[in-house]
Amino acid sequence: MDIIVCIKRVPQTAEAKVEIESSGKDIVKDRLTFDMNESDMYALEEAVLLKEKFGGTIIAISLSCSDAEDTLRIALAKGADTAIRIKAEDFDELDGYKTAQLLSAVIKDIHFDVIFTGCIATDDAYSQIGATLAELLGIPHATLLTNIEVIDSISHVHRELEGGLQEHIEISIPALFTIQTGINVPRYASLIAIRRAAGKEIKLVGQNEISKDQLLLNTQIEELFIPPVAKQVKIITGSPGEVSKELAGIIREKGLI
Amino acid sequence: MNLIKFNNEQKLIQTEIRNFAAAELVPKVDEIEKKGVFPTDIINKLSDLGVLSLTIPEKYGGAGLDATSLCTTAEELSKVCASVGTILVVNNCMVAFPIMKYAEESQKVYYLDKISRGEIGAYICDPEIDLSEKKIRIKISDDNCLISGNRDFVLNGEAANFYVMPVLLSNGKAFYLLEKGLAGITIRKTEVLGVRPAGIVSLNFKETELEDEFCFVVEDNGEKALIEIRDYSNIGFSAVLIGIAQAALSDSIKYSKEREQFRRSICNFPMIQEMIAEMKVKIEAGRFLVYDAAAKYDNGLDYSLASRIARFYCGEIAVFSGIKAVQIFGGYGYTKDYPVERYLRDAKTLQLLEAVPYELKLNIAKELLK
Repeated sequence: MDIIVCIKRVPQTAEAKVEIESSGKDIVKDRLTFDMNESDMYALEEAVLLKEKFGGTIIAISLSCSDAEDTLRIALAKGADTAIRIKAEDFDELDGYKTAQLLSAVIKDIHFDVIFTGCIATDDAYSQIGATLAELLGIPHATLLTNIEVIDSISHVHRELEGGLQEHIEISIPALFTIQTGINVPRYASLIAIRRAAGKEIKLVGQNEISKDQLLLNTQIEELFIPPVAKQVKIITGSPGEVSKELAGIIREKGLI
Repeated sequence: MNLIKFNNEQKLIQTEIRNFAAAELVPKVDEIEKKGVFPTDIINKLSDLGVLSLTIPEKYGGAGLDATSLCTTAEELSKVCASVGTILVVNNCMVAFPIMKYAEESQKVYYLDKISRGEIGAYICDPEIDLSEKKIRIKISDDNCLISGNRDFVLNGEAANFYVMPVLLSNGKAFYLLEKGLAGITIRKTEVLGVRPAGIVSLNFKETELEDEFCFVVEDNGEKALIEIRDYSNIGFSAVLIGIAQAALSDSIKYSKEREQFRRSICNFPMIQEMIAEMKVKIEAGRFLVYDAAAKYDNGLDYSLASRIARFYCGEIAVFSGIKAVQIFGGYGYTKDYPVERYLRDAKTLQLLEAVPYELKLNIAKELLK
């Protein structure tokens, strides 16, 4: 089974102080650390599990700057056979649609049975790439997978829905699936695999291979801002009876009960 | 600007081990420390990644990595749990290293493969063999060679399947490889101040047979080899100490921002800032020394002086950072509710383990006064 995994390198902002850069359209990234997008790690692991079961190859693709080659090398160390970096530096401003067009331009010439992406990127949280890429390639897709089994070219997948519901659907391959976190336990790369991956060649694709003419942006960031934190504290004083009466009144007034 | 330049491979290893430490070690460290026993589960996971055989050449089943990668790995793991860092340094620097360097080919194939498959080896580093209460007695006859006596400070001993034991004999035989199950060996766990889960034990030998098949002969009756093992392991232990110091600093920064006194965070107090600044300056300097010594080893240069300087300085600053962190945490600093008291205990123990500061200073001076 030939599998393509789309991988994004994202800043780790959970414990970092996030600041807006002077353009007002991006965050300051100098002091942030970067790593593979969380759900992409699960997508990669799912690809490796399928490869272990059925054989075949895994290609990891990332539209990113050169720093992201480290992320692709980790993908190689974890089980991808080859890696392609689409040179983000060649394609100016990017959004979800343009990213999907660029991925599609590269993937359309490659044989594949399945494409995996993460279900959401932790930096912009658009969740656009999977569905848009499937449409551009003209293949079926399913999002938010929590389980996948492939039997005779039919993939049986479980999707996570609201309210704890699971949906079971069947999709013939080739198809694209976006992977939910928790579907598997991503492995760590062994040191020897990292050592081998460190020296592997990463194929580069840029403006010489993909024409910029047909690429469209359909969103534009107007402003990125940190919402103001408003402190609304009311100190209620008085006897316990008076305090509880006033508190009950406020709760009722706010419609909380 | 960062003057320490890691290559691609070293950077990737650092990141992956950091991720492993955050996801696998952080949730377990309190339990590991509370139990104080060898952390077999986490060590097995690290072994699967090749960490315990990191420096062993690929042809013997290891990852074939350099001393710099050993240091990044030890530092990242030791930021969370110095005992885990210590175990990996012992396995690579004190067990695998002498075998790689001095053993016969058949012994290399047998023992390095064992380590690469996840077995723990121990190093018997106690040099005090002349003390009467643990005098090593060796009986050599035509048929066999029997050893009796006591050896303390056996690193990794709690979980080891075999021991690397220096026994410097006048006939040139210097190192013996002993299997755990050999007749006449009893093990007693040593209660220690810090790195309690690192599995330090005492071994007692009662007419244990040393077999020639598991002996290797080195030049100068082993004295030079002992120094070389110590110099090489100094690099690894320095990285563990830097990891402890960095953890003490990181926790101090976080706590001082959160902890309020007199209606403001204590990080606003100049004396807290002074302690944080001093820790940072020393850690940066120490880290340079660690990776300078590692780079010297990796490039085939003389690394002995650099490794002693790194070990001496990193021991000092890890203890310094541990003390300052306990101070910044105030009353909570000496409770088990926070890890800073552990950083101090681990730092002090590792400052004295295998190479005490006065001896390091003496050796540094000797080298300069040659």
